[in-house]
Amino acid sequence: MAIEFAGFVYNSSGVAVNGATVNLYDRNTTSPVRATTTSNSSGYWAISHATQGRFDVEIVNGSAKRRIKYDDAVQMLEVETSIMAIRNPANTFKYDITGAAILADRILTLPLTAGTKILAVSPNSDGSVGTLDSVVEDTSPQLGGALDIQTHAIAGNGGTVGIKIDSVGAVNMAGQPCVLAFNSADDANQTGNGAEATVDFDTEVFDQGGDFASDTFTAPITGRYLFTPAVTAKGGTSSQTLGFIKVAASNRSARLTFDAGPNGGASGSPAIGIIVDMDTSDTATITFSVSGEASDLIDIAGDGSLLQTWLSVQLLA
Amino acid sequence: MILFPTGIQISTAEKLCLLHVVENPEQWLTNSVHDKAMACKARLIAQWTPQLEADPNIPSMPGTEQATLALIFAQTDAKARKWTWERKVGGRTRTMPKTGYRTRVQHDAEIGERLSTHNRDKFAAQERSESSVTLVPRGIKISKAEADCLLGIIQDIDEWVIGALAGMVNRGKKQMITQYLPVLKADPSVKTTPDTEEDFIHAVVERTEYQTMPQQLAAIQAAREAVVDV
Repeated sequence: MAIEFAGFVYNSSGVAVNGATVNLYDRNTTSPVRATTTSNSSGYWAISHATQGRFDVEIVNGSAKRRIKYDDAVQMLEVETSIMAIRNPANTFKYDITGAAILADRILTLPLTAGTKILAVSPNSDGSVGTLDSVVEDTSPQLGGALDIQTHAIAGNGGTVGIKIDSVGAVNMAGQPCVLAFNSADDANQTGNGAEATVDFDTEVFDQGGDFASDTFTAPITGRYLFTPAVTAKGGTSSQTLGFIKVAASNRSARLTFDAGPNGGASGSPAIGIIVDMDTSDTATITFSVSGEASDLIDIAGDGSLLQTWLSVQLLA
Repeated sequence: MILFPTGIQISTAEKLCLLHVVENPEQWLTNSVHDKAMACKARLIAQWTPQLEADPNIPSMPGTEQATLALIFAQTDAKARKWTWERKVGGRTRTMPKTGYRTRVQHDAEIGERLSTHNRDKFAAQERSESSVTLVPRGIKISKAEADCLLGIIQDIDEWVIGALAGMVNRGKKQMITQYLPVLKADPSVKTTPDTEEDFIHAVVERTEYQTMPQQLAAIQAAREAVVDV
């Protein structure tokens, strides 16, 4: 975009000077001349320069010279105005910022081009550059390029946790539902004669989001959740036949049947994985059953350090 | 119909846990049931539309959700034995037997699935040593259409409600503990961390800086209103 310079030249008597030479220089230089023109009979001169920068204009009329400095950035100690009007270069839009009371915490709201959208910026109390507090009432702000997040965090819904992008690009999601729980001690006589036991996961390794309690996962939002439970059983005999492990969720259940015998002693389910569609506040538990025994003499195994019976849950999408 | 016509008894601490994460527990629980009913309606329609569209006895699909649901609920096994329909699955065409409508409980009974009472059992077994408060004292009113949609997808509405409630109580409790356990430990005026979760919750809410969710939201709203428009 070209920079436009223009002005009038008058002599000390106020008469327009015709034919004065007008030279454009880089700021604080005397050569080379970037552009030149002469004033007309009205004293008017104009230079259009294609390159952005900071310039001086020198006007020469005979032995008289005068230099005028032109900057594309102006620095002042103070500007006092009741209305600040902002136009684009093409003059196709204009909006006014009207002075209003600025709160003690120095929050000033600036209207954006769409009338109801507000950009709130908070300078620091010492007047130094502050922070962008919020873009209020703009439900779908758009960026023209990449968003450089200096703190590597995107917080959502007014919270302080969110998506953290490490310097190497690894992503943590501190609020994303994610659970690992296990059974820390044997639960005796849970099944064997077909009883369907709700599996006890009494110890949580982590429960990101606080969605797990009483052996139950409760979906915080509607989404697709990955369940990967596994159950180890012991105490059975060679009479045991079939078993199943089931993810019992509100909308649907998924049950995998397996051959439990005739080894007796230790057995268990294969570790299964399934993505379950859950609605907000839906719940899910894991149940386990073995058949073939004369009574429910089979224990669901647990250990304090070695995970034998566990459940992990993660919100995928 | 009215669910829990005399309300749901919870402890004061449980109510405080709810208030840590939701603005209005009664409204949240009521809305949750309505939202779930809407989700179930959408699931039923999505699940049944391919079969209904393939049914030669149905010349055109009803124009409203209400009429579509009525048609779904009217599907019986008597008609099902007369014909099959084809469904494209993963690029292949499979011949599907037409089935009549069943509630989730009816369906589960046919395949030997048990009716889960886990949520209610756990909730009833919860030890509550302090006085209780009544949540939704006049119950949760839902329409018959909502109940029908719910029972098409879930086994039992009460079981679902208690599961949702217990889950949110737990979420509030865990968030409160995560947030305030370091605060209490760092506070020299707190000599001992409370032994029980109930005591911990009361210790948190008694702190001067603590705000419930409705208090936090009110403060945010007040701050927004204080910003001067230009």
